[in-house]
Amino acid sequence: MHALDKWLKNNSISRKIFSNQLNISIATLSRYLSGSRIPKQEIMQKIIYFTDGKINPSNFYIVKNNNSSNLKEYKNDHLLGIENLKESEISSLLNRADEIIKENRLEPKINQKYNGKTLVNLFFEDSTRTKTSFELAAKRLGIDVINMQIETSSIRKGESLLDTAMTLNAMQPDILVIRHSLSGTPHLLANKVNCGVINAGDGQHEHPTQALLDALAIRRRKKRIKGLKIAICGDIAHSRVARSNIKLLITMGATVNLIAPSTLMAEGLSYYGANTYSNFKEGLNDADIVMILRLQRERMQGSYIPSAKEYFKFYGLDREKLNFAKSDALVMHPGPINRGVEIDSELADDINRTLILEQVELGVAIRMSVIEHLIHNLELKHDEYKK
Amino acid sequence: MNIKSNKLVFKNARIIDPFSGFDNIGDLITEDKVIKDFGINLLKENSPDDALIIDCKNHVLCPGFIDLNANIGEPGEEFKENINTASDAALASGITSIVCMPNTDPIIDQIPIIQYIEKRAKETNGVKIYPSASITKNLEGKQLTEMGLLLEAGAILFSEANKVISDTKVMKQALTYAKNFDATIMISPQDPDLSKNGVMNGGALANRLGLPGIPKVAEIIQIERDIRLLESTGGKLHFINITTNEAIIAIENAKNKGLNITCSTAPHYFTLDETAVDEWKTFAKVFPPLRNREDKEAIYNAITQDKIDIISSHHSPQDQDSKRLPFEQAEFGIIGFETLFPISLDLHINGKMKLIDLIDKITYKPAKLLNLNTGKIKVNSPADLTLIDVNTTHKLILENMNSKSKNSLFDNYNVKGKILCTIVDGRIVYSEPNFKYS
Repeated sequence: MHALDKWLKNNSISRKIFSNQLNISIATLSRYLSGSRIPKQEIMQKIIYFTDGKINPSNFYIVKNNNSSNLKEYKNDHLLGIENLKESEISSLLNRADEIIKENRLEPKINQKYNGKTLVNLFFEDSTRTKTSFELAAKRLGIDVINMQIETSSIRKGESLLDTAMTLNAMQPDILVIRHSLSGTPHLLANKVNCGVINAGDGQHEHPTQALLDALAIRRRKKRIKGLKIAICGDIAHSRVARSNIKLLITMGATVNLIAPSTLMAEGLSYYGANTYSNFKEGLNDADIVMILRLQRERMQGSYIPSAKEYFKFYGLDREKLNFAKSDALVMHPGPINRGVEIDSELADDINRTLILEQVELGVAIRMSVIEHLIHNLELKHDEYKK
Repeated sequence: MNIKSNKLVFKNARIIDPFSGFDNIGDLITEDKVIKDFGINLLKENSPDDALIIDCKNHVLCPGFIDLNANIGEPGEEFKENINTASDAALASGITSIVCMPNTDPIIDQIPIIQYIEKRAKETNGVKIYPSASITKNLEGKQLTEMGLLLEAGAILFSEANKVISDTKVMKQALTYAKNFDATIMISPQDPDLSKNGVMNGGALANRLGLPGIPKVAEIIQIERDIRLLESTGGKLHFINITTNEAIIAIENAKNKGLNITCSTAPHYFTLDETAVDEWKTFAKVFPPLRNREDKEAIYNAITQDKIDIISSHHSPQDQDSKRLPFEQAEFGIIGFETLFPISLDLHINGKMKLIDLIDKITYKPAKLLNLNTGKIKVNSPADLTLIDVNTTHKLILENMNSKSKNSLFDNYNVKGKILCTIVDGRIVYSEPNFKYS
């Protein structure tokens, strides 16, 4: 029940009388109470006046502090990778994203809880969807976003990387989102800065928010992750998406089959408990989800695979090959898609079989969840520090 | 502190000389630059009163160490290390002679560079520095350097530092031509194509960290090629930085065939493995990379079984700016002087290797390879000595190390083998602050 609703009840004031006092319709008051609308400034002042300040703006600008109990499961100030995350932590991140979707918070809305917070997008590598998705997520939460424009060439010198980090740190952002072509860079920065660091992809190491949104997409469609058989196909050796997904899905109790030509398979990933296949048919057998990885253009020539044509013949997904998987198997792809290289163009567009666009959409929710978790933890830390 | 006495007497020392096999409590006298006499109960008959007398309290007195594989920063990278700091660090480690690598800036491929280093070494007047020259001009692997002239100028051997000569024909010519002068060719074997872009040991851990790896096979491929060449050319070949079990087997087989081949490794390769990289710890980035546990143990055992001839420091100073970077951008290297003996001493303590055999690998064996008249305790040979406490445990503290750069992974290690005193050409050039002569 809304705090104002409670106050009205306690003071035996009907909605009708109160709406008259405010000079608004009952319907508008109901919208305030349901949370679908927020009073304008003059109305707000009236409410404060009539309630002797018992009801103030904070009662309208969300946020369910009592609901943040599940935020406590995730204890880190950073999200640097899926490695070392526990099942409960991953669940917490996914559950919060689910709530965000339910609350319909993805629609543009005033949300002042995080007003005054700053998120810096520090992308040393090209990115469209991840960067935009982080920006959108932050803005939905009322966070100010700064996009750092970094020419790839100017970061060749490592000094400037740490210098950049220190400069940014001096500006006291709350969240730093970093993508870098070298593995381990977010960890290096996390040691140097005081804010929360989110890894938005580092070299061939990890891309944790992608894995989280993939898991969210799977969970929403299949109602579970545990016990599913998930095939990941493509350039396993060079894919950070694959690494994060393997760790996450296995932690959540799924069976993971990795499928790649042996030149693109990475030794040692079975350490996490994944099965490896070089035969597409065998690896796909009985799969609930088929996750297709993007094949980098530079791998298409040279010594990894002889040609895109040959790759598509043996490792590209089309309807015929999809039949090896379960009849209700769904296809995922982190994008951007190379049509006709790793996936058949017509199949990629079939919304009944693929989750590709859903993945992009859920990306915003999962990133909102991650940002909320980190800010929550950072605030706790600050509070303790003050004490 | 330099004592201006031309006579030193070391009494009550456990004198260990791998060259003669001498390992007894005794006394040793030096006069001017050479060892005058040594033996059991030497002082009873002849006790010179004009000498500085050092009571060694049964500590080990052995030849000064000879380090085959060191980078001293000069010329070109004086901000990482210079000849003065390198000398201080070496002497504090009991090292009295070092061979410096040719990958300096400018590269040691011409006579003036050799002369420059010799001049700087003379000015420093500390550790003895023997420059190695590059095998090919500018380390490009194409055109041979003027080996004869460089040897005359003072080059001790020929090496491509961390590189190999990928052109098989050039390598063949290098081995053949070096034979004219009985010169040693020294190679750090690692196939350049397989190790290209690699930053750590190839395999599971590298994959998990998302780092490009250098596969183990890169080492053995290079070694086997060079052994084949040596078989056809003859000559003297030495492999440094051996890190894999396969390499040891191949080199052992080649020795059995009678080839003039020797090899060495560095303490980090038999003490640490790839897990030292942990989460992108750039101090653990070395070339060749730290291998896995099996290889580390194989290297350790190979030393105790005398399959590896020499232990060298592989001293590679890197300043903070070269290491505080993303792992792939950070420089390779670990400093090695001050950890060389204390870390290696574990081979004696836990590896059950005789102390004299361990000392052999850092004194006489390298001296023999380099044709140096030192690394042994012999009347009239240079008084290059080191006095060591091998019993008391102490802590290695990074801060206290003398190297200009502090990139060591052995910070806070509890070790034995404290260097008490180092003597070069009959001069005390280092003594431990708490060590008293009498």
